[in-house]
Amino acid sequence: MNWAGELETIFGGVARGALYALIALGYTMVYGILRMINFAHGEIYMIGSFAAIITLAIVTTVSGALPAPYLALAIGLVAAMMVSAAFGFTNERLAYRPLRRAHALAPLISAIGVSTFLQNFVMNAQTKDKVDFPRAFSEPLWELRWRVGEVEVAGLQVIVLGMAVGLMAALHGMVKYTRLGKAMRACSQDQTMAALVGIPVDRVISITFVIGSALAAAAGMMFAMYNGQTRFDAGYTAGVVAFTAAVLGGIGNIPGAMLGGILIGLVEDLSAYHFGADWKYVAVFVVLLTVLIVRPRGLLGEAVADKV
Amino acid sequence: MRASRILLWLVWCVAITAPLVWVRLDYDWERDVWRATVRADRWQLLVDEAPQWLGRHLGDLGLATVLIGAVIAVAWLWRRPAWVQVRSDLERRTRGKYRDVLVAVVVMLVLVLACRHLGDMQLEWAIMAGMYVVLALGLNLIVGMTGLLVLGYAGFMAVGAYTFAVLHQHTGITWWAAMLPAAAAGAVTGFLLGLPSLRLRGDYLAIVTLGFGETVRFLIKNLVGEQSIIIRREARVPALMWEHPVWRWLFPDGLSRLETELWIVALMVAGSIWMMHNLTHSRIGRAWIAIREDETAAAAMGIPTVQLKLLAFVIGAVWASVMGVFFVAHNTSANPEMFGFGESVLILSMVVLGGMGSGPGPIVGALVLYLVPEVLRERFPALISYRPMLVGAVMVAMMVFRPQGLVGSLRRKIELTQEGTAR
Repeated sequence: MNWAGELETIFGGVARGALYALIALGYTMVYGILRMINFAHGEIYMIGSFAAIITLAIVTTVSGALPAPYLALAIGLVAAMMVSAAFGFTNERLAYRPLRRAHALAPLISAIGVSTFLQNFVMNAQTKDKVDFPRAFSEPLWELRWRVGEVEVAGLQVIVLGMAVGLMAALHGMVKYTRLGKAMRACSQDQTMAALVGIPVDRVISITFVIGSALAAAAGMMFAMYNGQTRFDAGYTAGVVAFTAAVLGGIGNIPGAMLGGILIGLVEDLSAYHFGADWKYVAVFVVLLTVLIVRPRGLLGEAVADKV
Repeated sequence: MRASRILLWLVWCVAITAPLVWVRLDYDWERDVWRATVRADRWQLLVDEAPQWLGRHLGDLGLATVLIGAVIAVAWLWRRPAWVQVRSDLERRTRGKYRDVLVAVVVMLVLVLACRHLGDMQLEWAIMAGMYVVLALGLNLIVGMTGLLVLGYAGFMAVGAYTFAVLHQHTGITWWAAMLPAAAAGAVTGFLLGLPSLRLRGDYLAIVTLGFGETVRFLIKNLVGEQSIIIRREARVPALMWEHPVWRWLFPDGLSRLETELWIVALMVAGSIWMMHNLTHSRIGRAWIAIREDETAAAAMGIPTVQLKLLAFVIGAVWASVMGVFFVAHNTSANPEMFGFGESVLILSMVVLGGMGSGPGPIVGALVLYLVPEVLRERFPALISYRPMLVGAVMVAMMVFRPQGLVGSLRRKIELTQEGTAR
């Protein structure tokens, strides 16, 4: 057995999984508060990756010469998060809020509609081909390599992992220690009661969407860097995988999404390493089905009976 | 919503989509970066060409507006109290055992005329539209009647289609002989998928079926191969060229392949409608509606919910896999990409547009969403690439403004708008 290869795959899987966790957080936060699956979340992620690439292009064009890569990447990240947040906010206001009191199927179908719309909007507005992440910005990070014994890791993997973990820690701290976080937890427990004690539920929900979308955009940009490209339908597969991660960890549970994301990343990379890249999504689906049958509440989720 | 709010939202949407719409990316190979330019061509399109285009097609647009207005007006008037008497009168008169025969004769006459006068393109439209009607009816059984959101309907089609294609590759089976194994494969798949996943709540089921649709595609790609499987001529739908005088009199040129397919599709549509109608008005159909409205209450009343949901699932799957066989026979080749998520969403949106759970709803939805873009394609070539966008927008708009669908029932409206229990 090739232990170095095995370990490298595991590290790559953890880095990829951390990005899935960032997307999964958006699913889980929205589910925690609204009890609905935001199908359009994958598209928000995809728009984030496009926004990052477009911002980098604008920055390059405006600055004339090649800008300092780290500064440009930082600008791209912030811009992508802002654009995606705007999309997520609009999405909630126009497509979900009018359906807040409707039957459970209604927002779900609406979300699928939004997802189809956004995907094809980006395809028509930009391109149906793959869009490469500008290599001038990602290549230096790939070339940065560290070696521990036999195992070699790329700088980009370390950076991606570090940023994802940092963002997750920030989110965790916010939910746990700030007033806003307390309001979010209150809304996810009982919206009526939260409204009665003076929490602006609508605003909290909007903020939840904005935060989730911004995290997805960060994941979008880093995934585009990591894979070297993005496409209008990138959000679909990533969305399904991230949702699986959220379910695996226990949907509605924020630490669960982080754990689930990393596990799913590992499953994907290890199955791709051992059986070939064609099988990784089949493996992910098998995980989803197994979790749903054996332990529907996920690894960290608490058991909730169906409310009648 | 006030007009100023709507305007504000419009401005906001234009603003947030601006970077995606107005930036063109060109790759700079020397430096390995993208360069951004403003998409002046789009501005040109908006300022110069759009008004010209509007001017040229003013007549078409006017006609379309009048037609749509007329349809809405008729639908609206039809529901007025003054019409109730007329309707019940009509219903009473047309009841009786000869009605079905009459309808069948009229439909057959229309088909005979259609075979004489339609060109190949119109035939193609009619066949595809009929196919989507059957698929929408099958999905309506699951989504509309039983209230289970299935997002991988095309996956069931793929199962049927590939059962046929693979069997054909090895044994040269013809399409009608393949119906049976395909239906069996569809039933088994529906059963195997439904058994574990029907114990899940609505939104989880949606995800599992979505994953199922994808997995079927991946499995086919990995196990069978990505290349198309060509169906040989002798296994396709045959052209019927009999020399019998009656046949000669009915169809002077015989029936071409497309015309035969049209007849078969018509038969399938009729069969589906008949079966849906009977199922809906049976004990099983009422149980399905009860499950849709409140699963817990239905279970409490002694309805075996899991078995009945499974039944709906299996029937819907059989429907899709049989249509998959026919689709491949019509298309003369099978490719995994034909059964993607987009296809599932298209069928779902047909059901949603027409009205989930209503009898004629899916038919209307399928006709509108398939035929309108296809028919307008020649005149407005851009429309076909915007169809998926249209589909998405339609789904959101229907849910927000008219959740019961175009021809939906009042019952469904109340269910979908009032605060649901299954949240």
